[in-house]
Amino acid sequence: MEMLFTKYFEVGSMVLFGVGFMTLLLHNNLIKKIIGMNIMDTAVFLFFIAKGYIDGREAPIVRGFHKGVEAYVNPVPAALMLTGIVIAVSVTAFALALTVKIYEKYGTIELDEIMKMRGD
Amino acid sequence: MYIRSFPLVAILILLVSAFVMPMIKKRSIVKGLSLVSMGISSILALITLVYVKENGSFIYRIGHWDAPWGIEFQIGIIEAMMGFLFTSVAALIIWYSIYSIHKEIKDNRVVFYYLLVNILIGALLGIVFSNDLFNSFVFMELSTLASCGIIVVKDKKENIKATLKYLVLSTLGSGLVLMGIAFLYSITGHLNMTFAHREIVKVYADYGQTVLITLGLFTVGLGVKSAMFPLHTWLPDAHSSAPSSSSALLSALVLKGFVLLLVKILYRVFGTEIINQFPILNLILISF
Repeated sequence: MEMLFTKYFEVGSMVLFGVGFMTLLLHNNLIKKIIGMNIMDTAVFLFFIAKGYIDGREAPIVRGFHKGVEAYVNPVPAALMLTGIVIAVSVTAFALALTVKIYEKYGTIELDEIMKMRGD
Repeated sequence: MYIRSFPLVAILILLVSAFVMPMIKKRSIVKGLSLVSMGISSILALITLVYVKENGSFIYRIGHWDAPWGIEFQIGIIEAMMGFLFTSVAALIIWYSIYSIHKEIKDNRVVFYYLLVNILIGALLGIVFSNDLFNSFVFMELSTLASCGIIVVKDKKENIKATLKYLVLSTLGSGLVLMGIAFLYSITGHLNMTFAHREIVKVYADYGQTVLITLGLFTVGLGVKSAMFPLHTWLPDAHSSAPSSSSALLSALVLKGFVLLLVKILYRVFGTEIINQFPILNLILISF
């Protein structure tokens, strides 16, 4: 129980992950689904970055001289999440383009209305 | 010694030829380029398979960086076999599609269709060969976007609906897989599968619940992507509404790449000792 208050980055990212997951699964509006997808991805990015952070150390940028490995936080999660952000953006762009197409063909972006229009 | 770099060369040939395609005006040249690049890749994969059969499995370091820092390809007998299978089946499907694709999609999209097919097979080979978790994730997303592309290229109503369903469910799956990688990285500190296995064997007694959650995330995430039994709802729409040659690619190759990744994660990262303590194989194989 005490962990909930001390590890607030991880707790916050788990809450955000749940919010995004449920938004992605339960909403009928396609735009809201895409927003949920982005919230979910952002929660994973927050979790990863929080895992790379070490209290009391500085950003891994060498200015002047190298202070030794003990002085910097872990740079690997930041590099990974840079790639992750690029992937999330491209998936979002593709999903939005498909939503535009759906609106052109069906005239609505509510999934329950689209599912009713079978075979016309 | 040159044979060891053939898996990387096979992937690079496919990806580079894919990005040359939009610059070519004539459609027949694009079709020929796609078939020839796939044929060369399958020959390279066959040579790799023969080499692995004689000399045993090997590890290829990309850019000659050593293991925990750089990315590795580990090519054993199963990877070499799957690589040859993927490229040769894809070459046969492309050969068929050269004569039939103009009946199903519009003329101005043919170039993009072959571009997406080459990217898709290159990304699948990357999933098969890679020994790095995050690299596999990137290739996984690449192959998902490419396979969504070869479904939606037909541009019909049902088609777009099926693609959106596939895209939403597979982003769900990739979010879960990325969360699994985050958990695994936070308890082992490695992304390389061999090193992660070495560390997780030492520490799993202290992190029983975390290992269970990680296994669940990987299984559900890759299960959605590879359409395992209760998570297969997107598959009938997507496969039936796609053009026939894309449908062949999707059901023959794409799903098997994700299944192989799940097998690699279960056995190479966790190992039999750990997965035997959890009911994960009973759930996947339905053997109670």
